[in-house]
Amino acid sequence: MDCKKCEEYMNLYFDGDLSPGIENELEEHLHSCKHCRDAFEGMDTLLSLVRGSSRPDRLPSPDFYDYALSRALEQTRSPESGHSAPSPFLEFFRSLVAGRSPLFISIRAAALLIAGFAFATIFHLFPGNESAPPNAMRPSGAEFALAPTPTPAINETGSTLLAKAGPAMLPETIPASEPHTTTGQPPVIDKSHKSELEEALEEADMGKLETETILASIPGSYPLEKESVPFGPPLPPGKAALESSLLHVVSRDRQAEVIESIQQHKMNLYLSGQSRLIPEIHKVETFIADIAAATEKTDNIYLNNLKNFQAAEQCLVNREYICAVQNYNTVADQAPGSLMSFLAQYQTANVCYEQIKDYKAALSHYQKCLENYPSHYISDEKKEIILKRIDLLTRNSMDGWGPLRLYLEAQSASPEKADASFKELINRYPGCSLVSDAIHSLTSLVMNDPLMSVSPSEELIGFFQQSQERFEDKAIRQLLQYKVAELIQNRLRNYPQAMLEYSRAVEIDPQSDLAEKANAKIQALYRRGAVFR
Amino acid sequence: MPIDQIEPQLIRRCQEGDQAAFSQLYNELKDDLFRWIYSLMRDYDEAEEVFQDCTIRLFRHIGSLKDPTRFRFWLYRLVVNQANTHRSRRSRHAYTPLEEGIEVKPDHYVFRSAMPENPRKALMRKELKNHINREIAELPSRQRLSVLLFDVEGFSIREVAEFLECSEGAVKFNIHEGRKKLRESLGSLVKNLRRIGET
Repeated sequence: MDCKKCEEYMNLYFDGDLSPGIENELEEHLHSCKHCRDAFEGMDTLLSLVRGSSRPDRLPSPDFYDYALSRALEQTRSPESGHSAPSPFLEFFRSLVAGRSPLFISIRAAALLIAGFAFATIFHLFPGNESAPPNAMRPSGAEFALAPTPTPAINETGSTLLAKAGPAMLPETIPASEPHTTTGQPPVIDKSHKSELEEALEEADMGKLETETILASIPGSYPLEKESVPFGPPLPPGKAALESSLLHVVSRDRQAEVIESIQQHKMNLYLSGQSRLIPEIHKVETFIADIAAATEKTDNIYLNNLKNFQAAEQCLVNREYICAVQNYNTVADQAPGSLMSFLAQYQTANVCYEQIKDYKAALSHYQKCLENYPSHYISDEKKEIILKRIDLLTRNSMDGWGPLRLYLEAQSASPEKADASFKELINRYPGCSLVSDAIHSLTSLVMNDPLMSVSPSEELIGFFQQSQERFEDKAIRQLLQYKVAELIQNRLRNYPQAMLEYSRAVEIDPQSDLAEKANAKIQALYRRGAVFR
Repeated sequence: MPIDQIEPQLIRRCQEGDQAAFSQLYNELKDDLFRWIYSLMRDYDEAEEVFQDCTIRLFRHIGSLKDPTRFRFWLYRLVVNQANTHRSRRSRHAYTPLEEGIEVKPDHYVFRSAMPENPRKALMRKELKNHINREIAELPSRQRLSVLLFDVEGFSIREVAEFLECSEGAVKFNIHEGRKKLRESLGSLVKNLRRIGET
């Protein structure tokens, strides 16, 4: 078989059209011709790359699936039969969306800013359970944000969560507050609000509001898609006009509904850790604050906490970490046991750990996160981080967390600096449990060097060989030796030498797992040598 | 259950408006459906959005499917159309993804700052994936669909021909051309990867 024929057969092979007889022929040719073998293996690699990149890293959560199903069922049902009662929130937006006049379009832009956010939030997140989407959209008590008792905002979410979790999970730390007595009741939708809304819209439609000014502020992209709004660029200068026009048409009780609904979604967002959308939350929160200000109910502790929380986040963006911690602390102290307090505590710990590098404080804050708050506040992802970090902090508390500091610094440093820090860690703290991690990291720094230059590998091999003598621990000595062999194999490509180094690694402790791995490498190298000789 | 093994009987029940059948059908196809959409969109968040649109359209229009044995084609066509609609809508309202914005660099926020095992490696992997995605997106649409349907989704040549309404020869030509272009654009990457044993 010549190479031209081989190429043709390769195509057939990858099309699945090659007969078994010819497949054998192809295989023989590939064994004997390096050029064709490279081409074949290249195509094989290419296709697996294409396949690999076409697969998501994970599938959506069951909650997302449940929500998509219930939403689809609801949407399929509603056009024909009126029996599935749409949530008042949806109904409200539908009434806006249904309008055809230019003013309706302008109001729609503002209304959809919120609607889009609410939708996007649910799209991205869990709705809880099958019945959740309609509930999630439906306020379970419109009074909280504007209620005379100032605290219930955050607790409202807490109790909604508790209602889902069942009475057994009721935490003692959540202060009971008066307005909650109404949360068990079904939402009461006062139809008069709708007519009020309609009246306002009609009034606007007849030209009593300044339609031109509002229209002038609408971005050119019509029709406006609800999904695009929350992620789009900020609205042009007319945004304030839009908001005030919305305030005009939304009655006060409606505002409470809007606020409550947004709050619920925001908490879901926080709980699931989707911090990517935080700037969007801020936009909505500011809008909420505006509404609250317009209704002259600004003495709400919740709003104060919100302000502090936002201020803390702003500090983070500005890299003013001490200021962030102070703001978070204020939030944590003002409403102990609440979800927002937990989030502030968690954030303080993260900032201490990652930025300020005050590990003692970080450890105590992480511990408080676990001890002082109900377990359902802590998502699995957060719990994993907290436990991992507590473990790391308690295991490496010697020398005032010196080795840990070095290790974490190295992890986020540039490759050159990381290299120096890892080596310093190995030299200065040979007894520390992070040494083996540092050895792994050093090796992968060199292995992943895109330039694939040889000298750093040679240098690292020298460093590992020298370091071996200083360690009494067999496991570390063996690991160093194994890494030497790995570098020689993958970087220097001296396979006989690599086999020799692997066998030295085996000798240090023949019973260990690493020895088994080294043996496997030796055998693989031997086979490769036999094939390619 | 793979989508091609879904019973035509189940489809018929859905067409009659049986809610339980809807749920059953959904549970059987949701994972595959999501994978299809992801391979077309190559962005997780967008795939989720398109997934919801597709689910709604699936339920709403399943009655219009005349031959339930052709469900897989019908669904894939729906998915491709929906993905195209979403893409054109997105280009009309072009926006910068939040992660790439100036204000919202991921390291400013510590909410999801799990410590990656090796940040450089993770970054390389992400860049690699982006690079491949870009090159796939660059392919002419028939070549892209042919490669995706045949090499990724495992449709047969005949099925792809039926889907694209062209001859089997044309499909093979499109597949070979598509692979050739990818080999040209990704060849050096493949070579490097094989050299360092990354793959």
